[in-house]
Amino acid sequence: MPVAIRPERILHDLEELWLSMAQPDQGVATASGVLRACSMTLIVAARDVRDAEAIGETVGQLMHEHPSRAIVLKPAGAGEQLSSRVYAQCWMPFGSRQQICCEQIEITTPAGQLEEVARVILGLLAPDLPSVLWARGPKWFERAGFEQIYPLIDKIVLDSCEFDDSGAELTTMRRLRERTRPTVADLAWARLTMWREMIANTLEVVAPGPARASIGEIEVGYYGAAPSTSCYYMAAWLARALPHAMVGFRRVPGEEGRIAAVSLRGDDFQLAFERVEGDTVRISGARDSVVVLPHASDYRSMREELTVTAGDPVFDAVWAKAEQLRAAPGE
Amino acid sequence: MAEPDLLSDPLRFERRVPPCAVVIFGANGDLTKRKLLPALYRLAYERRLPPAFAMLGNSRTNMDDDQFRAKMRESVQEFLENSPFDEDLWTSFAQKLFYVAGDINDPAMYKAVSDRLAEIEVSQKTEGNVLFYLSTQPSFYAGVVEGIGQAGLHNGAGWRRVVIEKPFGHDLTSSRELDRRIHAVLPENDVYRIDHYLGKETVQNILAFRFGNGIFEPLWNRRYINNVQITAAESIGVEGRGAYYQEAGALRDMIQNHLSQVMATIAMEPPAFFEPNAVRDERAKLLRSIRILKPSEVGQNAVAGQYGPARIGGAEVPGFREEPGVAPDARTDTYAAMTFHIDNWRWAGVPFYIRSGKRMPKRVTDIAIRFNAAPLSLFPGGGADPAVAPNLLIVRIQPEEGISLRFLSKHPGSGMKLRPVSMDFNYGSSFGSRTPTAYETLLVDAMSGDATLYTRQDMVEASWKAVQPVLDDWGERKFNFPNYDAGTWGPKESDEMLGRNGHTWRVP
Repeated sequence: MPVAIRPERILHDLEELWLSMAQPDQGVATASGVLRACSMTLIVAARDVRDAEAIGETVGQLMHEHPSRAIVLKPAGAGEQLSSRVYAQCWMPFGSRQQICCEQIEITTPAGQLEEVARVILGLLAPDLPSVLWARGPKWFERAGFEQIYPLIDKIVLDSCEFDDSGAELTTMRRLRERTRPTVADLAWARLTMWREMIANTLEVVAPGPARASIGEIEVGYYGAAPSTSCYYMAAWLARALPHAMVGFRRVPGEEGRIAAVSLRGDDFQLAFERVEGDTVRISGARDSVVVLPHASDYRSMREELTVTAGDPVFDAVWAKAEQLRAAPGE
Repeated sequence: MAEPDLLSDPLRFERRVPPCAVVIFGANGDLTKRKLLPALYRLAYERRLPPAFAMLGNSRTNMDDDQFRAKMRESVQEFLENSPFDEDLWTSFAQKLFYVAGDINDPAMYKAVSDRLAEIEVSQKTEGNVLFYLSTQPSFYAGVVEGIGQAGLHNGAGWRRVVIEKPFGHDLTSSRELDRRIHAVLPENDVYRIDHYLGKETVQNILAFRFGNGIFEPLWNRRYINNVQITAAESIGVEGRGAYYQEAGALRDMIQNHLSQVMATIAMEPPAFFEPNAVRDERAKLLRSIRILKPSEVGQNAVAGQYGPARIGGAEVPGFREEPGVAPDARTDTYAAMTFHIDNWRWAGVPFYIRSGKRMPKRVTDIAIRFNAAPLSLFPGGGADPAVAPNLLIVRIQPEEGISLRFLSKHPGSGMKLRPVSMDFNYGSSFGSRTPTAYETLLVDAMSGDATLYTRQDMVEASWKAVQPVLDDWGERKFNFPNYDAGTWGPKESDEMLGRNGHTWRVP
């Protein structure tokens, strides 16, 4: 007997949940009650059963700044059927006497039933608010029916670092970007923000305005066998910002996937950023210092992505250039 | 399509704050302890201060750097709002705090500040950029700026700016005199007059609400809006500020500055760009459009009040004249209400009622925009007269920041019974994150050279001009104070002022 889940039933369960939480003796309500918060629908497609459990903490953290109705799609384990459950994520803001709560819906999704789940999601979207899909892992894009979710959402976030086959991520993203909706974001780009900001701030001081025209060479150092998408993004961003410079890549022994170094050179000008350990970067050349960057965790990167609700013109410009560089890295 | 600004990336990068030193005169005072230091610490916590940053405090108290740091630590721990105190962060932040003791009337003090700044410029790499913050008694503002000028501190390798707190004079004449003395040292572009109301998120949100949405602006004029009421009420009395408040009063303390700026934000025309001077030009233009009352019109358009003693909730509450530091025959207005008329095409005929008072029933600041009633009453037996329960748009500034819209709805059941209902936007439920305090926002703006939320001298003068006839009248008049009980919404004359126009105060 096939199991059915219906949006009305889930919404009814949510109402029951809120009513129970409003009872001081049974729920989490304090004398000031709880505040039901929602500014978007966040659909999280988890990699697997374990990821669905682990991601709860990150989703809970994200809700502090981006209160949302979270819908977690959990790939069904062996013997699991299509099912749903609802629960609340609550927290007490520092210095506040009222708890803020957001609702979370977990849908166990057997392979082959994604299309049906997409229809359920349609009924669960928080009306009139943005909806974002966070697709964790490349396998979702191979599953039949996943594309049924695209028309429902405003933005899809993937992580090109999770794709094994070099180039597959760009193919997937190109296919997505050919649609007018949703907009496409890559967590690998968000992870570069602290690096980019550090480089931009340094350039502002050591090579303000026209002085940048003297920079003729950009070199991005990479770990592993080949430059990752992150490296192409970084090179593309610098190439667009410093249009007179040639772009090159340099292999550095170390952990695959991350940027190892960035060098900018010109006549009488040299500025290098080199990862020395973890998130510590040594700046040398036109300026000498050591910077410890905050760790670009999934939470931090996703938090940033959720603040960019409409288009991202800088990423759009960089994306096009990154594709070109991937095709002809020596340009 | 224009090339995006790749090296700024405003969607993702924090706004760049240049290397700088902040010099606080009056660093042992209440404002520094309660607001400025906690704000700077919080900015450090958020990584929004530049790595090359220093704060140099000055007051008369003899202290060395370490003693000053210990004192500031106590203040931050006590007054930090909605934030945890981080021991490690404090340790590194404290290394950027320095202190020079000395009297602001003594030229030698400015020389000492100059010497210390020269050291700091090298050791902290602040590149000669200095923000002078005058956290002193207002009567010292001009003298401090002149001291800065005489010591040559207004010139250096980088930019030099000065921040002053309200009040900017105590009337139009003194405001102009203050301005003249400040401008003898620094140009207007380097003078940042802080009005912390403009730094509040909800006041900034008025701009987003009005100019980021398409649906409200067509209604935002005399054709659809009947009147506007701005209320800033405090439930407390003068709380140890009796001596200061006795000289200031509600009209000077709140209406001339904070509330007239709020009114300008609500009523100004859309700026052509969201740039400091474009926004400030529109605010200034609005303030200049306020009708200046003739002496004979003051009595009809302004009400002064002073609270008397009352028993509230089982406790005796003193009247203003019984407060510590207040003269027993004080003539100070602890309540002021005014009707402003804005003489421009958008607002002609729409009264703007502004009131502010102490010892009111509760602490609340909000703006109520009352719309005209529907042209025809289709539901005369509906139980809710649209003229009595008009559409109201409420912008709540504190304490429950948000916006609500009141409209009539059919009561469920048979018949067409109407009742007013409210549609609410609450900041807390849409943005779970902590909002920065006004001082965090304004300090970053001043360090970054963004004066959008600071008032300009022409705005200050325009708002003084608008209240000067009332100050002149009240200065001559003998009031029968106290004229309202603590814990009430003010004197009955205030209700009568609106009643003459067929309006009533909304109860917030």
